[in-house]
Amino acid sequence: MSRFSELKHAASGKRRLKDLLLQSDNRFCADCGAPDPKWASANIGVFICLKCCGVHRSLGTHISKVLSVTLDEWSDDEIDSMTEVGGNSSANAIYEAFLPEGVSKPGPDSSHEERMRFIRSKYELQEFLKPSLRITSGKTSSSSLKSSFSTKLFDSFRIPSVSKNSEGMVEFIGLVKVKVKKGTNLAIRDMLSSDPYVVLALGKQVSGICLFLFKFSHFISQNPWLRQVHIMMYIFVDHWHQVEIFSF
Amino acid sequence: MGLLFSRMFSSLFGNQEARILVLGLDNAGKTTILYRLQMGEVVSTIPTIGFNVETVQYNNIKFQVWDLGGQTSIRPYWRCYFPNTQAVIYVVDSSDTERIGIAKEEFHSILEEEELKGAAVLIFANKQDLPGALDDAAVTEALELHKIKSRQWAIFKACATKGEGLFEGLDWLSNTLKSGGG
Repeated sequence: MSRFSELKHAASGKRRLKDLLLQSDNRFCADCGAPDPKWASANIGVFICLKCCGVHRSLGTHISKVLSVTLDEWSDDEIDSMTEVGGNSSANAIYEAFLPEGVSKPGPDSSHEERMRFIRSKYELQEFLKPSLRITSGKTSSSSLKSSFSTKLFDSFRIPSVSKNSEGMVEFIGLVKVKVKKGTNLAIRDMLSSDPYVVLALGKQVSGICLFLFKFSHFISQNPWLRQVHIMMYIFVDHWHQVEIFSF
Repeated sequence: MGLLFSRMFSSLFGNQEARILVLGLDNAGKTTILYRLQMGEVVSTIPTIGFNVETVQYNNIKFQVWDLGGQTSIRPYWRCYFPNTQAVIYVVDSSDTERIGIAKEEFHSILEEEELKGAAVLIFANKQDLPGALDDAAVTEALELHKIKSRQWAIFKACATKGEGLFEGLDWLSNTLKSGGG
């Protein structure tokens, strides 16, 4: 890429971010409602004020990756993840789906402790999600995979051979395309950047392939042996969460 | 010679002074370290847009500690503070493995600065309490500390919010400065 087109590209990224910031729901901090937020959590996808940004930073980058809209350089991926979330309203529709009675959002003048308590509950402990989305490992209740996932699952991938051990050259034996029908116990933290795994099991032989959830493939090959394949999808948050088991 | 004499004199009589810069990427923990050293407390911080400066008296050295903001666009201003600096404390968020490469690049560009040629370097591998934090050996490797030539340096694991590792680092720094390094 030439220097000129590089600059142009960076400028367009900046413009996208600025446009998003100007959206009406993003004119107020996602956590305390203070006007004119200038900071953002790039992985969560919310715009936040300076005071809430202090709390987000204290959680660690594994929970929230804080950037300044004006003082930091943003990568394309970071801007993409902000635009895919779609702003404070969409993010809060998820992270504040169920505010229990007695829990109220902090206001612009709330104390640090109050903010800390709320922001930790909201993002780190994810206590206000729709119950089926809350992170509780081993739970088997089912919920539909978000439609935004299923519409984006177009891609293909190769399965490494499961018949030999991994020394030497990896042999490819075919192409499998998978349609994800539904997900169970989906943990949504960091859904835009976490790397879910697809695990293919053929008898007792198991092979793991790292894939982005969005890049899942869409149909299954005609090969008869594939009928014995069980496909399990896992999403990694703090530990592996099983999402679904497919049998074909 | 005059400077050397006055340094020796002050180290004997316990009023040596040192100008220290605390540098590192945004949210590495620089301000938390500064106030932990100065007040012995964990303060809640917001991003530093500009700098904080405090005096920390330790081991008979009066450290004048400058904590400079780490956001991308204000890093170029660090160089305004380089002259007459005896030591740099470089703070790394050991759990932010995604940006450890950027931390390395910023670190080595600091080391290339002529004005910091004689400065000792103390590295804090901070946030050891967070999941996935790299230990001191891993941070040493990631920052390519073996490339440091003709300079006194040391790395310490630290957890600023718990106060761990900070004074061990400052001990090393005061001994290094007293023995004429930096």
